[in-house]
Amino acid sequence: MPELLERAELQEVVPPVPPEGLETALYQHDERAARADLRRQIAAMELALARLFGSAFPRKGIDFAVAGMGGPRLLSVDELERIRDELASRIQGVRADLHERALVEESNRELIERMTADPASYKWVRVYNEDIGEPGCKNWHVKPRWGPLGMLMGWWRVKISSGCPLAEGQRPPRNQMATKRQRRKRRRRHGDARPAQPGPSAVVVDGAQRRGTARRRSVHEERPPAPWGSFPLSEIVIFVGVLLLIVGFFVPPPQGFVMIAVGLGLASLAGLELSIREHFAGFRSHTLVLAAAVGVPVFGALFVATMIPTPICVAAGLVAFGGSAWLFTNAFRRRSGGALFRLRG
Amino acid sequence: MADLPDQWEVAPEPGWVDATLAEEFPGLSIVHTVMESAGGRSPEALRERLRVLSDRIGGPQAIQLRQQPIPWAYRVFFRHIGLDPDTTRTPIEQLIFERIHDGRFASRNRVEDALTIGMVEVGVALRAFDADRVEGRVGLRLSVEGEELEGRVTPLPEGTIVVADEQRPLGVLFDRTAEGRGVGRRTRRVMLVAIGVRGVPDIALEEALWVAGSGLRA
Repeated sequence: MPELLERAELQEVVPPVPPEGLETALYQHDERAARADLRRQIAAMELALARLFGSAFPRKGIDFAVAGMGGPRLLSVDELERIRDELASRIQGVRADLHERALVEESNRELIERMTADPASYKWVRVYNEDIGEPGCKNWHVKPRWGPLGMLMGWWRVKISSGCPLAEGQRPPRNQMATKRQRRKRRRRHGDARPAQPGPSAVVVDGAQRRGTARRRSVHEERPPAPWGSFPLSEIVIFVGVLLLIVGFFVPPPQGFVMIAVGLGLASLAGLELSIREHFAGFRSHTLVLAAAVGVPVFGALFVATMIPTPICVAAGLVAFGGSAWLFTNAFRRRSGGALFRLRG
Repeated sequence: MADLPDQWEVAPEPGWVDATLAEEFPGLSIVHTVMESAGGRSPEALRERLRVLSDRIGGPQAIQLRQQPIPWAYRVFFRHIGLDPDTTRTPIEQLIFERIHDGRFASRNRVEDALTIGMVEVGVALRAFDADRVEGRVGLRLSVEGEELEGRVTPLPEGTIVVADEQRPLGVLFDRTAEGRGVGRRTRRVMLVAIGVRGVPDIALEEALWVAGSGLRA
């Protein structure tokens, strides 16, 4: 080795010590070649990252960012190396992320198969398209057939959704719901002679629809007013009912029993009125209360007034309860703009 | 060649590229042409072309864009000059982003709409200057120490790649244009400039200028 390093011709080509500032033509040339090589690597990696970007769609949350160095300017070898290294690291990260997601997506596909084969073992499980790496809003949901009745009877099935919900919910836009007379009146008020035309693009229409939905939502934010105005009739009736209940405990029978029964009836009626008002205004759902208000009387009437055996009375009451719960749920969904239930403090 | 419009008076002319830049970035080029054109709002024909273009471009094209040869070449060049193409988008990606974001290619004015059509159709980076305020031929070079860009408070950092005429920088490459050098209300002659990088064929530059020029003539 010493002989090799001491060779005169090599010393002429490669200086033993880099000159100060590395500004000889030889070193400039070397750096230029290194930069060109790094640029080729960056180009190849950029293409690899672009392909990963294309194949990753529609998955979200994958980080493809590789920071710049500030430019536009000529970058040094060090800077190009940093970009190259960051690109390499990013490609590895994205590949690992995609691999992990692919495993999860495959297991979710298998879950869909199992759900379909045996729905009763996967009650209420829901798998979205997003969970299996596909675009769209489709989902597989294990639900009971015929609502609560199916839940009690064990009639489970996989229901496949029909796609993304409309921006408007289930109700058509306001301007379509209004009658001709209302539309004419509105046009006169706003001084617009022409009927509303759709915007130039879907996004614009969606914006208008979103505003409409927001407007309707704001209506649901307020408790619906009573038909008799601001007079606190329900509250007074509830108060009287509670008062009768308390007093009925201290009054000897039979007056005491009558007072308790009347108090219970009054309080229930007032509560039921409030429940109906809130439920059908889409403000708060009272499905179970209202369904019980149907099911319990049915059971009571059959039990007291007929000679039908008790199990059949119970079944009839349950059927009435389940059916009315389904109807009340649908009614609330229509009036709330798509929500199945809504709880408020 | 019989299809070339009669109005194609000025043939695309190659600009100069500083020797340092040319050595570092083989394939870097600049082509320009000057056209008589008034500014102002786009005529209906041009706006109709934008609408048709809006219908042709959607989400799938946006996702696949960076895998196409010309947009990819610009992304690579952005990396080479220290720009992050996801932050400082390439001209074509910026336009496609706006298309997806706004739901259409919004019409701005005649020159910008013509540039939009040229860039989206071909993928090449285009920009426009007021031809009467350009002195000599345009080219690409590195800024020198203390050099100023009109409208910018601080001097340009030394070594910044600029589009320049023979007197001064007209704008930073893929960035802001010097104040008063861009197309304005008083512009009568528009200089269309196409910037090519390695991987973008010369014919694409000429085609982009031709498409943008036809938009200006609409």
